[in-house]
Amino acid sequence: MKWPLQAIVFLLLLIPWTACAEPDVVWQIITEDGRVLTEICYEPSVNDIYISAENMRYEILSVEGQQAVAANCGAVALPSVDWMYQEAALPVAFMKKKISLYCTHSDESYQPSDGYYTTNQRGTIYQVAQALASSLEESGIEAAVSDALHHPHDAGAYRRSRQTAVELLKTTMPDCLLDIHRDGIPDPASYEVDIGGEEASKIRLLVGRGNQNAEVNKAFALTIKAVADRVYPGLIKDIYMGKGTFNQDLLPKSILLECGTYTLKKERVLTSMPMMADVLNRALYGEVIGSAGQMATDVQSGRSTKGGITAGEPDANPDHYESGTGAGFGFLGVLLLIAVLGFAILSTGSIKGGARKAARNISEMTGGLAGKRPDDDEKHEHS
Amino acid sequence: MSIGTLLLTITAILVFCGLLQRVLDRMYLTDRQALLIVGLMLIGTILPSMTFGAVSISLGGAVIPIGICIYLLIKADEAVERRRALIGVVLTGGAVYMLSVLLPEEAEAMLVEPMWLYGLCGGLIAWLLGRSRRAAFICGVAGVLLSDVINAVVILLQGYQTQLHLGGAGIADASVISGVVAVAMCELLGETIERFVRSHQRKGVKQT
Repeated sequence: MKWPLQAIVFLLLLIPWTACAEPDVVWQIITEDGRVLTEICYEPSVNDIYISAENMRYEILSVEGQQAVAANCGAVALPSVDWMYQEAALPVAFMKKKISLYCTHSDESYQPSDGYYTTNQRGTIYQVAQALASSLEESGIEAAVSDALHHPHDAGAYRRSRQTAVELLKTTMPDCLLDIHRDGIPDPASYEVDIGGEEASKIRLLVGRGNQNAEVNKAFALTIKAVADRVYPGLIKDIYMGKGTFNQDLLPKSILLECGTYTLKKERVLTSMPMMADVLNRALYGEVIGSAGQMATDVQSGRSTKGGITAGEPDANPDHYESGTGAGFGFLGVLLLIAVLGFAILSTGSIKGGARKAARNISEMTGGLAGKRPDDDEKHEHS
Repeated sequence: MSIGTLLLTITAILVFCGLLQRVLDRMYLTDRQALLIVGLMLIGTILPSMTFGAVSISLGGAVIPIGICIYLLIKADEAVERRRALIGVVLTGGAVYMLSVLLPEEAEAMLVEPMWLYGLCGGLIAWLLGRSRRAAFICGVAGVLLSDVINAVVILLQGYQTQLHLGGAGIADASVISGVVAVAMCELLGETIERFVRSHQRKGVKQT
């Protein structure tokens, strides 16, 4: 009889501990000579990578207090996006284009427009996701937005949104998975931009570097930036590659978008969504036609893409993404090798014994196709 | 999806399934039974979750893993082992919930990926309670699911709009990953300490 009572008391004690999303604390990323590069609302870690609006690559060297010092590693070679201007009339691919979206932080909203930056109901970040999806649909892409909630805004949010991400993968089988967020930087000016005379919002791309898809996702982020820099300069604020997975291990070409910040007018963010949809369409599928494609104008080259010819290929530059998969295989291989050999050596106490045990494990895992077959007397090892 | 990215995804799934099979192999199951369960979990992941109002339960991420936990509890040699495992589940559930609340909100600010941390927590608790890999699996799986229930109840009391998905990511769910990591953690701790004690004893024998 004591257990239910204890459980209820335990639950009641937990209530005050539940996190509520306060305005975020900000960290500055500065160069070695003290110049402020940007602000982020999560603690940076050593070896994190920051790619600035000017496409300079910085690597975090140290973090002290609210400042992270980053070394300039030189300019990033963005992938060529000249294929956007191919004149050849290529046939439209019949393959369906699919992109899925979800919002891990269900509370996120925009203070100036909504009157609150967080809510215990459905945050207006879902409106942003829906606006992006509508623009993608206008570009001929099947866009699915999950309305699943993942409250509260705490460290478990990604655990809960992982279920949504897998549900989207199951039901829609997308080419790309987008996690829509808004930033927690207090200064709205850091996200304000005028593009083609319209008041819009910048978008930050966030890539998790702790998973096997990191290199593919980085290549995808760079392609998005390369396309945006040509078609909508200023739209992509920067790229941050931080620790964590952000559920990007589930699908290559998964990316997190920080659409403006909580102190920015939501209308600005909504203005950016058709542009972002156009950029995604180009980065994933090549040249576009339709409303989003027709509105695009290359500001830098002065070339208009109105009535542009569609290539409609599944990947704008597949070779570029393929280069990242090699690193992904390497990541998995090293992880597996460390796990199998580490345990084998630890449990047998010698390298020779470890190798024998690893071979036996490989044999068991592959049904005897590879590795040494186990002896009958040690076939099943139970503790 | 290009061939490379498709192969990368398939490889990642196979690597995880391989690890899961090795873990299940240590749970009173033969190689083939373990492989069959991994297969069932994969199928269960593809199948739609069962929905009961605001609660949904995945076959691959909750029903089958919980089934394995119940099987392990039934097969346990002694009642004390069962009791320890159940206490471990409650402690892990509370610990996972507290970790979610107390750790930084953003994954990039954490020292260890939280998905791994839950399993490490379950493995450590199980090892402290009874040095059992099976209890570690039960703690890892059921602890994460329990923390989801705790979270749903707590935020409901706070007036949040909420839904409860148990094991919604199927075989890739935090509960399953946590079970695998918990067993690995328990084994790592057990083997390391055992080796340390053995070498210490040998030194003692040589000195005498």
